[in-house]
Amino acid sequence: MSDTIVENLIYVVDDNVEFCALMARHLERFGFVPRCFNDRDSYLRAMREKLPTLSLIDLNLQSEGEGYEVIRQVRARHGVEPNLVVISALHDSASIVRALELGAHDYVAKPVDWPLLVAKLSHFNSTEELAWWKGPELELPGDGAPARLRLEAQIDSIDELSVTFYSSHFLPKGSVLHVVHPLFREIFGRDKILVNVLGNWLSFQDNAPYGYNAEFEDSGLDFGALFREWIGSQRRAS
Amino acid sequence: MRLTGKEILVVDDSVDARAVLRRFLEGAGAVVSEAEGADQALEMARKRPPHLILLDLHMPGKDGLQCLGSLRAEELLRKTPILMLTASREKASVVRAIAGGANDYVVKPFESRILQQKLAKHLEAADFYRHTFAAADRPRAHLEIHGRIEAVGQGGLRVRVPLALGARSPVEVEAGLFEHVLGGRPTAFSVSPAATRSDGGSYIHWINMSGLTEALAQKFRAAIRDMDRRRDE
Repeated sequence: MSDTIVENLIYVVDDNVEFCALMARHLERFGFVPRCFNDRDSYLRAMREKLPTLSLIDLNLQSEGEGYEVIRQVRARHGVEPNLVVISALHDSASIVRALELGAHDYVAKPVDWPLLVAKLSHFNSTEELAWWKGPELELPGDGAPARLRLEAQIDSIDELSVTFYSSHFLPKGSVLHVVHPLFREIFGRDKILVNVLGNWLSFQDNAPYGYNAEFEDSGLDFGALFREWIGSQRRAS
Repeated sequence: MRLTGKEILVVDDSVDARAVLRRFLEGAGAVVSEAEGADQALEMARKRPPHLILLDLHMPGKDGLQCLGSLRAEELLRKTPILMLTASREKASVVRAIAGGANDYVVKPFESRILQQKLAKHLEAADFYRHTFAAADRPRAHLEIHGRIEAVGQGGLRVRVPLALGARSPVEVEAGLFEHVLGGRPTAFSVSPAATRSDGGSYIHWINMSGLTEALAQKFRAAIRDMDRRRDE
């Protein structure tokens, strides 16, 4: 394996062995290839042998603030190229700012928001593919041109207030978008329904790693009454 | 507690009792429907499942206990809160009703504060009606979001949207820009996002238009060059 280019290789640097193992399990399920390091020296040695797609570094390795030193050494030896994301239970912005100033690209806080972490890591992983983007590039004037994007999703359930669905795209909480399916015409008289994403989670499903619960937002529709009428008709039909 | 928008079915053979309850419930914002007997109640609840049912225990013909049994036999009404309306002397029947699936009881003539508290408690605890699809039958839906095309390159688009598109997950882009560049009607392209940067509250995606046929791609490139030239002049 070490002779070939390992796609999605991620080094996890954390002296907490259990946390490292938990992180590795999660990352594996999403197609990453994690390697755990519980101390600074073994990690820095591995970096000299092979650079990963990204390193996840705990800011409090063994002694407080040792993570900063790791970032400094990686930057000193390998330059700006290696992707570094710090992970820390520290919520104060000062420590995060310090890590970013030292050259970390991003951070995640413990307890880990898993959907957000996987989304962030996926992006780091994909940036290297930008090689295909070549000029001449036409920069559109002003704010650019309006576009409508359609993404795939699978509906898991519908209730009076909301719809639950899975998708391969990461939608932050608070995203407002339309969900489109002919079933909505049958239930609500409209093909697409405006929703507000209330919650997201990792679904561990093939091709659709994120689960969502999104509340109906359209005004002027009595979603509850229409839905219960529909569910009543379903029951009668069966 | 307000009962705004909650649909409550009142089942009682006494028109006066129904009127009193209706006044009280509507005063708290509930939407009330009435049934005067068991058969009508079952028909109404099946047709339009309410959030909660107030069911008189003592009715001529099919009584409250039988009606309760019929309601609970309906798959859809298994979890609907049902509160029995009883006279204080009917203790043995109340016990049977609770055993038969009633959630609670209210003694007539009802004490408004007690009724209100019981309604609040059971409506809060009630599971909403939900339709869950089996994993194999999940409807394939589309999520539709609005974004802006900021730049067009030879291999694809740079698009700004308020969310993070999954790497290598298919996305369809529909834009008036394509109509302008290629002529004809607005066109949807199937593309795969290849790279993402977050920028403030939004995300910039470099979208590789891999689904583009070569002939169309050439036309697209020529049109971009033409637009660029005209802009420079």
